[in-house]
Amino acid sequence: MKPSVSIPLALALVLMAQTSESQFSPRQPIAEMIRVQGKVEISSQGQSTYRPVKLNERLYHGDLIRVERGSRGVIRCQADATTWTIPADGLPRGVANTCSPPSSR
Amino acid sequence: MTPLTLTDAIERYETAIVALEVAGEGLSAEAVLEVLVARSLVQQAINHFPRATVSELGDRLWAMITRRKRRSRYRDWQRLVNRLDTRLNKQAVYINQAVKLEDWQVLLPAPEREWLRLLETPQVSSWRDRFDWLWQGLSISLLSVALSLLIGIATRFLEGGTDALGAFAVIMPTVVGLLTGGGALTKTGRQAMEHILGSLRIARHWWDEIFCGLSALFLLSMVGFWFALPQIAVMYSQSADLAYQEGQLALAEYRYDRALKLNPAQLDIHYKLGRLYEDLTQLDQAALEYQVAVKGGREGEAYKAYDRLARLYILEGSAENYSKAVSLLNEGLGVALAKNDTATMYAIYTNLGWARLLQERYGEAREGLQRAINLAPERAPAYCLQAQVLEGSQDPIAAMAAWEQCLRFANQKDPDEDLWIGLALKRLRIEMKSNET
Repeated sequence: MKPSVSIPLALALVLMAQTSESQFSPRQPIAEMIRVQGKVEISSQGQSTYRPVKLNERLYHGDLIRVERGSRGVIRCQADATTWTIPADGLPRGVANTCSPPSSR
Repeated sequence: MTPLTLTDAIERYETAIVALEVAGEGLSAEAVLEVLVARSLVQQAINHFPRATVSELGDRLWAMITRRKRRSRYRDWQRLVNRLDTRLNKQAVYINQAVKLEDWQVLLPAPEREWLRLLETPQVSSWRDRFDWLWQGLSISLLSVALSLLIGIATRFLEGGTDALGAFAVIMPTVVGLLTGGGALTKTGRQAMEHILGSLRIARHWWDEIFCGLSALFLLSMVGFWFALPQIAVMYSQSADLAYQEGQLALAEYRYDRALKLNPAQLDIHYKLGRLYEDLTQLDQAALEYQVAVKGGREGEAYKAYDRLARLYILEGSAENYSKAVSLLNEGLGVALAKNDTATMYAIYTNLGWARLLQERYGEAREGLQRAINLAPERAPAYCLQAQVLEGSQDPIAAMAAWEQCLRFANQKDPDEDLWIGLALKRLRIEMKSNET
């Protein structure tokens, strides 16, 4: 393919990609981690493994949070600013269990 | 004015009438005046005739002798005057055209006005008046139909209470109906209408036609109103949707109900009412509404009732209800509108999987649920049911993974999902304990 043809084509593809990205905006967070104390882990959607969650980390629909016994993890929902202290029993809880997705109804 | 003798007066009267007859349509006011004066003199002479003769002669004997002759002469004059009056009467139309008799008659002394009746224009009935019975009959027929429509409309608006729009929609046509109907059907109304038409200087022979026209106009407006009812129903339905979204369920119920009364054919309102009753946990009522929506047709959002009704059958339990749910869902799969609605297709496949799960037909359940997951991988119900299907299929490892997916997306605000969250945590807790040991 000649450079004179390939450069505009590449530019067009980049533009298309940006357009599609703006049309289908990236996932909106539905909650935020507002307290982390002890061992609090997150398994993001599409992943099977857990990693430590950070304070103020944005949480999405499909994320799982696991709080070990003796630890403390609190999240705040974006939609209604309610807070939820995740039970410290080592079992995973979905962020969506309490926080509704942006377009729930 | 000295009275003429009757003979002279009659001669003058005859001359004046001849002049009128000759003039015909080109009659002058002077000629009319002359005939009026002449006839007035005849009247004077007639009025004075008996007294004059008696006072003049003063001779009772002569009176007895000449009584017969006098009577005979008087009868001749009377006949002559009558003939002349008849001829005058024939000219009455031209006389009335030439002068305004009402203004002139005051000039004559009261006792001599009686004969003026001769000059009253005969009431010429217009050819249109011959059809007045037709117009009157037509008015009554049109009004009867219009009033029937009005009653039908009013009932739909007033049944079960009304609101400002409903009251306005009823009051306006009722007032118009009473005015039109009262004008045509009641004596008082008729008099009022006649007064109005008279003050508008509308000729009398047009009145019945005008009544009929007004009745037709009223009927047309009622017919228009009748055919506008579906549009008004849509307005009520849309405002009910808004109230529902704002959580004003009682107001939404009232408006949906009104919309249905205005247009019972708007079947998707049954679906919306069913959804509302579900929110109010009146499940029996909800099922009834969904049944109507499903049976009635597939317009609007009515097709969404398939999966809703099926879910209620599933919640009711029993093998019979599961079969009913499956049958309904399979029917829903064939609805064209549903095929283009991902959320509805998701719900249909999920509920199909749920019903099959409860029938312990796991293979078919898995198939339905997988289709649902493919349509919406970020929704919980299909995962939660899939986990139970996998448990039933003795595949605990895959079931645990499905329970985890269920937990990822489930929301406790949904009663079904809240139940499944509890189940998922229970299973995961058992799994965790077994891993610890």
